[in-house]
Amino acid sequence: MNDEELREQYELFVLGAADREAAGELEARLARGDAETVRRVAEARELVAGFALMAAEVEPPKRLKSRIMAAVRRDEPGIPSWTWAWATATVLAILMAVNFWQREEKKTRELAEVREQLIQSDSKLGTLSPLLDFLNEPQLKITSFGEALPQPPRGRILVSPQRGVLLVVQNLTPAPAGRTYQMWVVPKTGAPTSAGLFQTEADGGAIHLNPQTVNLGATAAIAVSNEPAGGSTAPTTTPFIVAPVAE
Amino acid sequence: MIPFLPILFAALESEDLPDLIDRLKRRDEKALEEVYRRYGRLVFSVILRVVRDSATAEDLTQEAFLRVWNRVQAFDTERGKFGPWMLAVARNRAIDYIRSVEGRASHTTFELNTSEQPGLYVSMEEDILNSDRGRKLREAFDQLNPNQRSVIELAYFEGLTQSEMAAKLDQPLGTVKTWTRSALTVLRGAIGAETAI
Repeated sequence: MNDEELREQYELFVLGAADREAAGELEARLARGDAETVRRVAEARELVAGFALMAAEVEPPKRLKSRIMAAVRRDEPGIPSWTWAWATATVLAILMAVNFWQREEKKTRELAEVREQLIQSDSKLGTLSPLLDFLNEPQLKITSFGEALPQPPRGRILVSPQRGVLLVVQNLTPAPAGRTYQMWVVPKTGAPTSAGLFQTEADGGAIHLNPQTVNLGATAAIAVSNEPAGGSTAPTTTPFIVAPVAE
Repeated sequence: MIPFLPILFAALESEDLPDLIDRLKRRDEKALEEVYRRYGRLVFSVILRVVRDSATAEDLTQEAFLRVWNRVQAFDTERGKFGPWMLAVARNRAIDYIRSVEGRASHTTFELNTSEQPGLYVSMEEDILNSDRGRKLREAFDQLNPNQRSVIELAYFEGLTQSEMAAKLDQPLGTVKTWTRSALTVLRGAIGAETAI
């Protein structure tokens, strides 16, 4: 490509709009320091700077200045954005650790309380061993109920995907003659399924274990209702205990 | 009212530009606010003309100012021409954007990025946005015939090569080259540059 062919290419080159061959030729000339090319490209750069004046004047939105200044502050090298990211991540990690620790501590405390209740109720059960095995399950979900109620019953429901559902209840008046308590596994969709019948002791305490496996992902809650002796295929009264199962 | 006059007035307020650039280098946010006051409207206008979407133009204007803020350390305070550099950065952001949106692969991306180097803006006689030559150049645009103006606008606002212009305008490449050459002759003459012919 000769000088004549390049004559309309300097400005286009500066604009990044030169044809491939012309751009290659000019880059080669600049690379070897060709004085004439350097001078003409510099002149072209000066001229195309003025091409901006072809643009019709438009007032930018008022908010744009604030946006830019806010972005600059976020981008300030003295406090790099990644520093904020790390700081945020660290704080979140600490909060999550504290939350996890609190939840674990609560779980440990609740398990200890349940163990104590079980030991105290040992005489009421044929064997303690299956229940203690249940409490050793690593994937236990524990839900309390009745804590906010001025009246009993209160207690906890423990759910293990492998070992089923364990209900520990206190202050539940024994069901009258001809009636019984029935536990239900309430799925997220569909009808509740029976999780066994139980009756409380005279002191209002009861421990009921239903050893059927539980699909935690599909379970919404564990419920207890008052049913006719012998149980029902579906709740016939409104459950007085409904403990949500959080996956 | 003369078109572009407010833009020129804004750009003309440059008596203390070296001081302003020094303050930018010291990370003085007030200095950036002043730069925005002087160039924000022109930068936004150019970018909007390229991308033709106000929200996108806002994003790209922000990007351009951030880029200048982060690269101003390399700018030659005494000899550099700030306005042309700022405009080059702004236009490149917009051209890069429309090329990416249109899926236009370009061999000129390197050239665009290279053209942002602050060191390239020291050999100019004066800031064309900040001189009487800017006014003369604007008058020269009005002297161009529609075809001449069209090819200059396609090159500047769309980053098209002459081959791409020929395809877009459905004209022979030779015709586009003739229009480009004659337009540049007029514009070069307006600012007193050699015609390169």
